[in-house]
Amino acid sequence: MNFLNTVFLYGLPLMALPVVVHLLARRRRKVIPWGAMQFLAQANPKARRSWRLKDLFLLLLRILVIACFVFALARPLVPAAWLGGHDTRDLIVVMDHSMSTQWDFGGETVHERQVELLDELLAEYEETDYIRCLQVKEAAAWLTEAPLKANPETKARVREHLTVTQGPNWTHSDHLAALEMAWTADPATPNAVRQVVLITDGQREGWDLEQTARWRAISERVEAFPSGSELRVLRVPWDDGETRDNLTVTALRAGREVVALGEPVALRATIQHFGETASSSRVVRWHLGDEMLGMATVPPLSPGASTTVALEHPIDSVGRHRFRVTLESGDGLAIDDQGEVLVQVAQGLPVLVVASVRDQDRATRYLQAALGSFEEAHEGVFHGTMIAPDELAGIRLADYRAIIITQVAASMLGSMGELETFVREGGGLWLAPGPETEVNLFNALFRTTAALAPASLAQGPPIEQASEPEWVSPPIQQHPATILLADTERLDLDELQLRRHHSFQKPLPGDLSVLLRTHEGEPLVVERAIEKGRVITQGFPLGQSWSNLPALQIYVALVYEWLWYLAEPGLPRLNLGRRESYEWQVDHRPPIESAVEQTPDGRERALTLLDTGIHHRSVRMSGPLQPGHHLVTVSQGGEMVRTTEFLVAREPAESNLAQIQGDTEDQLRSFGITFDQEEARSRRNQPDGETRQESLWFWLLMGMLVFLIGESALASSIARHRQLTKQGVRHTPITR
Amino acid sequence: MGAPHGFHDLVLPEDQASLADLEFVATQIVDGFMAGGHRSKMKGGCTDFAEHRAYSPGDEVRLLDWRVYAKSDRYYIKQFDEETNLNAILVLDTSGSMGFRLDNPSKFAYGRAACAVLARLLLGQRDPVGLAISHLAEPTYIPPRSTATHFHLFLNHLSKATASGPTNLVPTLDEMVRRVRHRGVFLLFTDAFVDVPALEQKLRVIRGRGHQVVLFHIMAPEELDFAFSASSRFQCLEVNDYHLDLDPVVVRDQYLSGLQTYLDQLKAACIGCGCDYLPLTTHEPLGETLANYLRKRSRQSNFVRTR
Repeated sequence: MNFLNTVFLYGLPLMALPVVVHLLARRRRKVIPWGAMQFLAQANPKARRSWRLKDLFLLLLRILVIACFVFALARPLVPAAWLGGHDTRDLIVVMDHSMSTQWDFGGETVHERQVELLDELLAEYEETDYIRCLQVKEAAAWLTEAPLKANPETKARVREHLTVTQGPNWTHSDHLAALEMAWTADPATPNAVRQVVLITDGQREGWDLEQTARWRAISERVEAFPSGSELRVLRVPWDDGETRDNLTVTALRAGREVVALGEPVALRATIQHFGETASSSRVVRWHLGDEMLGMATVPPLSPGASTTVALEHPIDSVGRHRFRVTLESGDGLAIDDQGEVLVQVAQGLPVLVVASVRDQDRATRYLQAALGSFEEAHEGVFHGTMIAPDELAGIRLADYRAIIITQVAASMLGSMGELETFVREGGGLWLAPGPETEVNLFNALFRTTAALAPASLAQGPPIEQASEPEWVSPPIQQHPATILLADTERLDLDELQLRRHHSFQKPLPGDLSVLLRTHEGEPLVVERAIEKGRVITQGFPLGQSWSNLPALQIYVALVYEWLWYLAEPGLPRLNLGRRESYEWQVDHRPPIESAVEQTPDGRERALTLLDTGIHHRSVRMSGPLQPGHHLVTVSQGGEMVRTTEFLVAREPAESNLAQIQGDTEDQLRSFGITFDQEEARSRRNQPDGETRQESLWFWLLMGMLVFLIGESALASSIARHRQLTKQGVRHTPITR
Repeated sequence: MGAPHGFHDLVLPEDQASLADLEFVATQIVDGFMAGGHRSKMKGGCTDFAEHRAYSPGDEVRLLDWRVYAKSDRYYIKQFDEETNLNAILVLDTSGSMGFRLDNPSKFAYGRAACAVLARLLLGQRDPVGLAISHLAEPTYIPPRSTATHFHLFLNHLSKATASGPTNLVPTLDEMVRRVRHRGVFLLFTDAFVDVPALEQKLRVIRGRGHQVVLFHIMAPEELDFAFSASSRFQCLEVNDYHLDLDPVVVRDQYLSGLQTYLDQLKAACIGCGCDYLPLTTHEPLGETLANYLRKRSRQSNFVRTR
């Protein structure tokens, strides 16, 4: 108990005043010498004591009157629990709004059941408590960050915030991040008991239990919260007793997101069954935009099994296209029965070819034949530009997606820095030194001056096959650059013969990949990634001097595949992962001034602009990203410059509705979580004196008033009784 | 007969005036030492003629009225009222409770005055008067005398008596029964705060010996109405260090109820034994009260006595 005005406590000795008066009155008691003692002694002892009781009661009332008065002036503060109340509670409602909460039980969704739990929860809180709410989607976000008094208006507001759903929702809950955010929030009041309640569908996914360090940090915060704490998870009951059929499209991917005009797009949809019993066969439909492309049948799947359906479809128009696969609906979660992917049909990707003017190898001609033309006007995917090594210094490399260098010259030394920057920022470099290349100069430029080549070429003359040409092994190792080349049924890589080739200096660095080897296992083509960009170095030229490559079918495919592979990092991304961050450069004069992202749920957020040059700005979109379609609009001077569409994939595990149980539940309990209506572990980390306190002065004044009235009534009753007795009203006279 | 020294200290002048011409008359025939011998009880020839009655065998021949026989030829016995002296024993209770007083004289003082008045009256009639002071520590007994100097002795003892200590009334009466052989009258001045059945038994014994008993029951008005209002300490007058702290208002009903029961028992006991019960209250004028009583007694005496 604390007092606001302790000085008044010095008045407490006044409580002794009635006692003193009482004792003085007793000392003044009249002594009567009396003879007829036997008649007094016969009087009922209780009757004799009753006066004492009344007297003492009167004394007590007077003491209480003074005590109440003094204490009321001292303004005592007592813990609210003493008055039948409770400590101030600082409730943070964390609502799981992930995709799985849209499961329909048949008339009622999980989310609606969550709202029922929310209503029951809010009903327990009074106006002395505080409420805040967090919404959990791909990232936790405060709906009401400031703690609000738990009055009916606040409850209605919280309910409204947590009930409204905006359109389709493919999000994946990050409970861990949400709970971290809740526990790091400032307390509503210094003494409020922190209560974090997560209302969820009970799905096992989304807890990131492998992040034990973060969970332990939360657990420690819960334990150490100064004014007491509780971390509770309320789960929607799934006890409908039905076995659920839950087929879902976990992924839809295109072989390449950017394709050439007329080039078939390879689509693969993965369909997995998360239900508890074997599924029935289903129909899937392919769509390009709103146009249906075809149908396929998914065979019955056992629980946990998955299957893949594929489609190849050429696109005859340049631009971004949306492919969609939909699964015939048959379970309570229809929203995960579809998958989407964006594909761009590109034209005119610039490629720079650095070649010898003499072109003894004729590589330039073959490349020109493969790419179509070195003129800008042709309709091919890649637009090649040929320059001599001496001209490299005057070229703005950022304008190209990939650079093919077939001839090395000392004059390139001054451009090596730019070349390295070009690669690091996502450009592709294909080093295919021709027969005129000096090994030492190559190594000096691409290994010593700029660490670009994956490996150094071995010193000395190239390896020459005297009698039999060397054969090339089809690639076995899975690599994105060789998937198509490995198809020897359609292509003729197995017919590639080398008369001469450079070898790479041994040992090879560990960070490279070998794309092609000879039959003896000698590396012929190696690749490595340097930051965003990629570099391919091959030990034989692209012309006819050392191999029969230009004469094979595979030549064009190889050129395209590897140019796609090299150019891909610099191409705009269309499909992003939810945890990815993506940064791209926007060329515009004058430079753009703003970039706004419109998220799938209709919200807008400003994106960060990075100054990457005089006329260039990079736009950064940071994850975690909400699954679904995002539109990023960049503007300059208030006018829209460009709108770019992105598709963020959803988390496949979100479709798995398996519930928290067993070890998972125990593990979460070990982190301080209480489930449903379990009794919370008592966590009172501070002495009672520091809990919410209420002033008693009003009650003390009321008490004083009551005691005063009682004292007056009792005193007047006694006086009246005495007066009546004195007047003899109550008695009949003695007869003798 | 002039008032002896000390009398005026004991009796108020107005009480003396009201008692001046009164004559104490016994209502029963008692053994009188004036008539003497064992025949005193018989109708005898000493004093006043009373009546005739028919002779029956066994009567003394000397008592025949020969004149009546001469006239009527019938035997009648001539009867006389024998006038004897009244042998009175005055018993004064000097227990502590008799010392109670508030606004009026104490019961002891009141009783002592009554003793003095009645002693003077009786001695004025030349009736022997004895005194018994019922005191546990210093009991006093003066045998009945009717001499002129006896009254001085009587008053001397009376004035030396004080009210203190426990009551000793019943043992005193027991002692008196053993000592007093001549039948007479016992005049008890007491508040009778004793065990009523024990007192009743003793009175029966006294009455059985042929004595007449008058119990002057002296009470203070405060004892009768108990009109106290302040919480007080009631200090016992008979037992040292015995007191009761109480609120009179609370116990008054029970006190008065107990007192009324006691008074009823006492009165019934007296009447049942053939004793006279005379309630006295200390705020009443002593002379007037005694005069009224003696007038009443006198009328009753006239009823049985032919003079």
